[in-house]
Amino acid sequence: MRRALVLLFVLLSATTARAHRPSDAYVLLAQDATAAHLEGHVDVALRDLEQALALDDGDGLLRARELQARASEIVRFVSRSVGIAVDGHALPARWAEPSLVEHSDGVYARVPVAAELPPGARALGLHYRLLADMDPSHRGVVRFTHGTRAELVVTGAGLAGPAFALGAAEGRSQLLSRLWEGGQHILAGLDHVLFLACLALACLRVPGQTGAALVRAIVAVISAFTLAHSLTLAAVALGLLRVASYVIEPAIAASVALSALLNLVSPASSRHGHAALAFSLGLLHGCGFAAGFADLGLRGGALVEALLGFNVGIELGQLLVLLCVLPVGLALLRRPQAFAVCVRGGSFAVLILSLGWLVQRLNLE
Amino acid sequence: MIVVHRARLGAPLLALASLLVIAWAALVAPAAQLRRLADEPGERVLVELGDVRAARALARLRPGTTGAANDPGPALALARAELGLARRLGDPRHLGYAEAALAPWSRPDGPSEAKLLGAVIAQARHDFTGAAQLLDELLAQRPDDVEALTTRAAVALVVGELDVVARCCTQLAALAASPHDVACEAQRLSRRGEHGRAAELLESAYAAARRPTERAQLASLRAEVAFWSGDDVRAEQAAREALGWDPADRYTRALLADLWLERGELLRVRSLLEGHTADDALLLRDALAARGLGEAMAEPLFAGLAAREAQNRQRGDLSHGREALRLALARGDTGPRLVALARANFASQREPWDARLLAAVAEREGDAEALAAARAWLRDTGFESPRLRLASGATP
Repeated sequence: MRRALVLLFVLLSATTARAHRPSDAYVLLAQDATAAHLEGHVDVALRDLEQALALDDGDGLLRARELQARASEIVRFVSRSVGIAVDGHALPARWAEPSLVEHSDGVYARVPVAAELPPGARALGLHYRLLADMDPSHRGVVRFTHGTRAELVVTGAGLAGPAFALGAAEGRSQLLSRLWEGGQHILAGLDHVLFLACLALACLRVPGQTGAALVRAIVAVISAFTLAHSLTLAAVALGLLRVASYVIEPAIAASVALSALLNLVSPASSRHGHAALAFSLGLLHGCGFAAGFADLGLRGGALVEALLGFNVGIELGQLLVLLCVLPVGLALLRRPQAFAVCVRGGSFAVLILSLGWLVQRLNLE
Repeated sequence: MIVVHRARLGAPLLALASLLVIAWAALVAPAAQLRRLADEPGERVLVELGDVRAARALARLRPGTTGAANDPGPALALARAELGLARRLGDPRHLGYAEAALAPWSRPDGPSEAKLLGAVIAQARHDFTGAAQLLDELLAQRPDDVEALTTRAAVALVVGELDVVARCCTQLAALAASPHDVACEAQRLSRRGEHGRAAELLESAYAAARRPTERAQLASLRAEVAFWSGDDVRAEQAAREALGWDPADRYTRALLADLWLERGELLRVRSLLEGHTADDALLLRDALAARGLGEAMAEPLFAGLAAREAQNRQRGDLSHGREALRLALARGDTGPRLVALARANFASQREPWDARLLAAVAEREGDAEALAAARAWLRDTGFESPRLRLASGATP
């Protein structure tokens, strides 16, 4: 019942959120890696468009058809109020049909814009006049990106127009930096690391196996984990799936607790079970990775390339973790008693820690 | 063998559980961030505009305000109406619309009412310095302007300039500007810890007042004085009276919600705030009550509040320091950032709530300097309240 209520609430709030904030518009201008192309968008609150263009038919409810009927007028309004200039000259830009996008205080119209930059262009300027005569406290939050460089300027009536230094074409691909980000993500995310470490310990616990069998078992676990989290990470990153992090994060903590608990209570089991476990719970971890990935704010071809890089970075991070855990485990294998104490002690510590996360993430403190 | 079987049976179940969790997370996830407008079902409501008729009526006034080069009347009327909407709805956009209406008349030789309204806008945006400057200019021209004196006293009270408050109160008393003189003096007394005398003054003024707006205002002040004096019964009664006279009084609604939050009457908080949560200050109280009741919807509420707070900060709007601080405390923030937030808020406004939050943060973080600042404020003002006792731990 409560879930149903939450769902109802979220659906309602997502469509007609009425939280009051001062008026802001969000402008993104992204220069691509070749440095020849500029694309981005302007997000204007529907509430502001209503005030400027009187879109509503008078019933106090702004419906999609009222916007659809005047879509081109909305585009004209935005394109006239936001002028792009390069080296002091107005830059011809292509403005496209609007989409709808959610911000924290409700629905905005997103008007996409694209332009070709002249060779050797240096300075990008913005003549921002949106809503200036209607609401002097309106602000334009303007983000400019080029590669990994991102700048943010707030503009509005009485404030200087934003100016950005355009970048040069990038020779190397973005792949390396995404690799680095993916690797950092897994190393910084202790929950993922400990989950993997617990599974690796579980593989080590299988008695009487040969070295080759051990390697096979570990490879199976890693592959299963990788396959699973790649699936969900890609689904989220490509926009096929959206998840609420306040559900996923506690579930990830619970998965770590479960992997530690299994080391404590179950007898040494088959490798088959470990790989299946890694796959099942890896699905959750992939959703968690996606949150870190979404912060990068990419799309199109850059997104696919970045996704690949990010994923490979995660794998490299995983291997690094295993390279740290395995030698210790293998060394201890020769002393079964010490090994058992380490597995139990380590798993117990992970269990306590992950239960702590669970409580924290569920906000039960 | 048994183990293997168990593992084979357990793994699909786990996979199913994972998928169920993901499905749940997908169901409760915020709506898709980006949708094509053309694909949207035509009848879908995208925004509830609220009182669109009032807004439209004002929009019709707008063209008249720019044409009249010599008559500020229409522009001032529009600005007053927009300010009324801003107050009633708690929507800061209307402050901007009011500012736009005033713009042609906001100059040193402009009409005094434009200065007054400009000061009210600045005050609402917590630009207390700007508000005080405009009011001082205005009072230099018209020392007997009751509205300007009342507003000046209110601004001075927020920033803790009690000598300025006293001067305004004396002036209002000399003008026999009832009930503003009494309201001014009662607030001054209460801030000095003399809640009993303040309450007496307000009670008799309330009994004598006839106009609903005056009664609403006096009842709200009675509630506030009683709240800080620890007289919860009287605070609740007065707050209910104030809301009876003026249901749009968000300030008193927040006060009553705080009172009930502290007493653990969480269901009452939720019903009090139902339909009033477009205002984030009230939504924060609602989220605190929802969390106290163990409701799952509390966390998305906090997340939304935090997102909007981040956007406010991004645009350079730091006017909601008190609420930002309470939100940070509610979200379990700790460390130097929290202390810095509390100190910055206390630097901009110095009312009992601000001192209380500063003390709470200082005690939690063990920040002796911040605690000393809260103590100094108590000592300098003479303010006393069972709700602000430093030794026994002040809780927000």
